[in-house]
Amino acid sequence: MIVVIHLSSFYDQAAVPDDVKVTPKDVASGRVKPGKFGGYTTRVTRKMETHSTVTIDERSLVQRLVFEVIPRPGLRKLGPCNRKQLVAEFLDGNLLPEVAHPKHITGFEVENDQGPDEKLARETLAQFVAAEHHLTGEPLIDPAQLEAIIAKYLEPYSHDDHVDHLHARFGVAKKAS
Amino acid sequence: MSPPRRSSARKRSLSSFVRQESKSAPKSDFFSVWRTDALSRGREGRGKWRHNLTTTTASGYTCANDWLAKLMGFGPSGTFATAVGAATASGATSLTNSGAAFTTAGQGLAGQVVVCWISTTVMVYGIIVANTATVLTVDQWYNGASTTAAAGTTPAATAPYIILPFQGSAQWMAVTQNATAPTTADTVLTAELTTADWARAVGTYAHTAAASTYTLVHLWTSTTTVTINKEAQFGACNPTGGGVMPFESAEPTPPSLVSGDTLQNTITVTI
Repeated sequence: MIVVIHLSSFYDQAAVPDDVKVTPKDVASGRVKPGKFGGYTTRVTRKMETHSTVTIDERSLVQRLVFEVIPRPGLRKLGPCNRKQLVAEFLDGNLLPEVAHPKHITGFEVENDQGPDEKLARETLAQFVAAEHHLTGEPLIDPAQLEAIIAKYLEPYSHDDHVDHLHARFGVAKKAS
Repeated sequence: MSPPRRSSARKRSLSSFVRQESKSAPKSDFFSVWRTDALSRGREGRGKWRHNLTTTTASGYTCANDWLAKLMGFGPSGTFATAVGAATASGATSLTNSGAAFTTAGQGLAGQVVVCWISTTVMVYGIIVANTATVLTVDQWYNGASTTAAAGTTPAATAPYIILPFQGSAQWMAVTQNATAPTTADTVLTAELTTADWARAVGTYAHTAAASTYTLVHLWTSTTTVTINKEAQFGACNPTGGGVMPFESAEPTPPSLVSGDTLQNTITVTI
């Protein structure tokens, strides 16, 4: 699946000049990244109408599903979720921090969505039904929940539904086509 | 206009720099940084950006510099007639043309992509990982329409093929528990994890038009207790195939994961 994110500004990396002091706090916070030959680069926001092309591997969405359905106390989880939600969560939680601030998004396009991969989802989730929690010994995913998780992942939706969901999730007005 | 200020620090002459630099191994401005976050630990599990080692002195075709040159420039496949032809034998990881004269000089065709005709609507491709004058060895035959780079059909013994004139990409991400320090001469990720939960995976790719970087991201959730010490990026789907390994990275604080923990790896490559 290809998601094209239209942007009014975007994150880029710029080399930090020698006369700029970089503190340990800057390093610890991830504000700077190590440069090639000992210096640093830092994230800058460049103002420009552009777009980011994101090629999402279905395995990434299934892995995000695994993350959402394994219970972990203290962490916000969606639980069973459909693919529209998985795409939005993956973009927001895993990818956008390197691409752009959500407020810079001006629109979404979705192309070449081949739909869910039931075989991949079943094979992947089965590993976590079989695997045991390191303390309790219970399955990481409750076998009784498996079919409900799969059914939610396979939930049908239209192309327009998907695009609308992304616009709604990121609070972006959809442009009239 | 005021004249440029002169630095008070004593600087070397250019000739001195050239003499010194000529003695060192090749370097590349092309580089990447990597971050590992244990997502199941909230903010406590967030890693720091660290510099990746670029394999600039690796022998064979896995050297990052060689891969990049052939990726952006032009590989050798356009220089011989049998870059296009019909097979005389095929296998799960091979294609033979007994009448071919595939180039074997230097790194041969390693890293390039061979596309095979299955039917009028189906084609598969493979990443060439080694070759003789008549036999191409690939990592696997890929289903060209798969979003997960899944395996496709093995071509027929007489399948038509074309070897494309550039290198395959390096989008596969892999991890290991091995703690040996990486070097620029490495060609493999020692003791790479191959269990189903940690097997090589295609990273999700993102690039913003006009930006100077691109990003690869992947999530792994563990089914056992592991400590991840190193990661690398590859151009083939499995360790048997190998593939170009342009970047390798050691964990400064190796995360130990228990069953159910999720790790996110993010690579930002500066072009």
